[in-house]
Amino acid sequence: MTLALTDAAPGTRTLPERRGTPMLRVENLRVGFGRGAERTEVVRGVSFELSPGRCLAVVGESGSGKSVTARTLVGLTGRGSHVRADRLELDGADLLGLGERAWRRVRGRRIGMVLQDALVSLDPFRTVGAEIAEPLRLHRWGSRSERAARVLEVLEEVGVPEPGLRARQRSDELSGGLRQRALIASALALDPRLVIADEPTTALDVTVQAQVLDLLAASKRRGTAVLLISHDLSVVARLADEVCVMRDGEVLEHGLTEEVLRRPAHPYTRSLLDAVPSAATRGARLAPSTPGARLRATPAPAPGPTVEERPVLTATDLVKRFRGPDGVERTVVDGVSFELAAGETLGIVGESGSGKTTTARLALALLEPDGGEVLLDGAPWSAASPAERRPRRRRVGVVYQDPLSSFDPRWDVARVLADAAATDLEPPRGPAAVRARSVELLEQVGLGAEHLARHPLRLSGGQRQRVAIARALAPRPDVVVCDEPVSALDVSVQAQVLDLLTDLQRSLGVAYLFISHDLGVIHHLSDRVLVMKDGHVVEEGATEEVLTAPRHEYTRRLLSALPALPGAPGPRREAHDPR
Amino acid sequence: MTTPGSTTTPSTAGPAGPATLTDRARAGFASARPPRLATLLSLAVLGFVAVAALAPGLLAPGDPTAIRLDQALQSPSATHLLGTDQSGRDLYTRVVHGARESLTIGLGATALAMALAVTLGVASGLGGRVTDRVIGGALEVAFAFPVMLLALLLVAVRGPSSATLVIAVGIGSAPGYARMVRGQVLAVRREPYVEAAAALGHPRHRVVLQHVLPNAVRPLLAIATLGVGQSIVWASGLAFLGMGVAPPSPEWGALLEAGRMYVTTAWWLEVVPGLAIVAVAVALTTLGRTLQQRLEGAPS
Repeated sequence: MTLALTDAAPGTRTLPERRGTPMLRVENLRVGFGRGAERTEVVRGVSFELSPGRCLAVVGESGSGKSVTARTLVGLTGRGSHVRADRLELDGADLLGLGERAWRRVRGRRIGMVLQDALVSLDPFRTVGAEIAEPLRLHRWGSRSERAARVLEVLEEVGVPEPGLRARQRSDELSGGLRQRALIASALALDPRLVIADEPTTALDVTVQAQVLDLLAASKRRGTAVLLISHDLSVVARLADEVCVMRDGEVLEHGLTEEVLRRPAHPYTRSLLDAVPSAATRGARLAPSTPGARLRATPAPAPGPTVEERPVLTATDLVKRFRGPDGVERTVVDGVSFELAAGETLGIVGESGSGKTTTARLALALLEPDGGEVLLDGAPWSAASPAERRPRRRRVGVVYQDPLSSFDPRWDVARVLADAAATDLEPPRGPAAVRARSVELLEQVGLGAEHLARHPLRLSGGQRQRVAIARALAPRPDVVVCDEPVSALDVSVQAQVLDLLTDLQRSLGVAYLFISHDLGVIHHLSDRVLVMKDGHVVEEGATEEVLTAPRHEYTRRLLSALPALPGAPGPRREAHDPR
Repeated sequence: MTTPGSTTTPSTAGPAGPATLTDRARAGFASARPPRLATLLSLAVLGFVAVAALAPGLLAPGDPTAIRLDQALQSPSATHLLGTDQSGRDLYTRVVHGARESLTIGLGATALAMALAVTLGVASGLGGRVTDRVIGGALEVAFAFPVMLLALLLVAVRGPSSATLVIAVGIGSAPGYARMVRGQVLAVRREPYVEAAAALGHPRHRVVLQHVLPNAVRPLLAIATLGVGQSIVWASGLAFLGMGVAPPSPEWGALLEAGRMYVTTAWWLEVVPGLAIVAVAVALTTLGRTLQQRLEGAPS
């Protein structure tokens, strides 16, 4: 048994002996797109091996080539792609240069694939049972009744309650967790030797994520090899035996999970680990250096922003009901009360459907509550008339999860900011003043005047969110409502944006109502926290107290479902302070 | 005569379709493909027709109504490029001079249809539940009638003329567009950027004018180009039925209707104006498609 990696790339480690012989061998895999001079290589010399019953995680941020690597293994790299490798074998059989027909015999039968988004990956017009039976049918497995029995068997295996009923339902009748399990069931239906899971838990709540990871772990124990593609190091820590860290199509580091996550050899792995917000990163910076953060006058990590005891936003007993498509009225927010003091961060954490976004919209007075009231600076806010509210709206800004859809698709950055800045510069002071203010705003968020003429489409995800933050800050608000502002970002970009939000709070004294499903982010950033479930606040208090010594059973469950990184990040952080 | 090109009728897009238009519109901004040959050809055809409509004398200096009975029903030759009709009038000259009227009807009818559609669609999409029910119900009823039938009804009431044709075809095709506008408005008003504008404290009318209206109507501009070609075809169809512009006029539909009697002896009288209509309709449709793809980023 030779070493998995023969070339001595930086960060390469010697892997200890493994159990069994590898079933999947990939050597010097290269994938390019385009022709001739226009060809760009997105995977550049990736090698790994995978043995039965083991899990290899390929970790990297968007554009690292991790998903393309996974797709190569099922022959789905798509048109215009060019795949080369010194070796690409599954159980000794060459996968390189298989035709479409040959691939179809491999896919589903010998390699199962679990995709990220179960809502999109399942056909809404077919029952879940038909969906799971499809690979069986395509591979001519058994008779109709045998297939039906197998469907129930796999559904049972993946822990779907009432498999008989579920098999007859369609994907939109199932919850996100059940859908993802159905998808895994369909990947496992033919008992493949290898399962490729591409970001299998990204869209899921923590508790559901934990169930899905347990499921993959169980199938690993049964001898299936699992190739996990993820950007989330804590997920990797929970499931993978080995980790392969990729960036720009290259493997930077490859080793046992414990080793890589505890003692990362490559600086990039280290920066990825440091970028993960958690309890241990409170008050610390996440990114090594925020590029172009020109405003940072106070780099000293103050213990926390100075919180004045003046409430800017007060909510009492908020109730909001919605009528569903079936005509049944549901109480989405039920008796939620909170107080947001000037300059502090109040986190609202909960899973999907907990009512946290509705609470945010009530706080913004974009929705009117069916009961209770919101006060802004002690004066009626939700109860005020729209005309009374309008001039005061500039006091409360908002940042959304997806910045791109929060910009008018026809507008460039200059127009977006000018429109927002105009609310502050009254009476209108001419294009020069508006431009000056726009540039000032861009500089506040670490961008420059050169970004004014760009269309948001031509900005990276992090830059877009920075522009969205600049827009929210334009009217010089006292409060910014952040609705999952970093959930769509890569770890290192998320780190930069979180750092930026912290800096802005220090320099401008804005208060944040920070909505997130991510306990790590909340723990990193919030002074106080509200835990929501089914429209109710189940627990609230100082973040440290609630998240380190939870009193409510649900909070405990959330915390225990949270996959944790091994090792204490504290000393590591000091050990390698970059500059 | 049926309605040619009815496969591109706006009615095929249900309310569910437009919801995704804005997402694709976003992606479309990033794409900049080089123009295809078909696009260039279409531009050439439309350029020629535009000159014909604005300054027909430049392309055909002769008089389109000059009667030369001695040269009646001549087949295409060097002197008469596209032949002559039963009164000896030069067909090329007549087709060039007829462009203005045909285009006026096409553009006018589409403009009218769009104006009606935007008004009704926006009122329906932004008004309350009652307004939506009333307008939506009326549109459903109007939509049940074929465009041609509505147009015939109006012409029968008002008597044939260019203006009547514009109104008839315009009203006839408005309900389809209106339903699309409504769907678009409903989709766009839920977009986060609309909420973001409201959160900045902009008054409702400003949010509607600045964000909802332009983004709801934009995908329709491309479809409207398809509508211009279609309106010309409909107007020609009406003329062919004798419900269009009166014969001495060189309007293309009128030419078709006049040449009907001689179709066995002088084929060019039918084929030439027919080809003119087809060329303009195809060119506009091609450009409309290109525009649509650029705006929406939809695959071809």
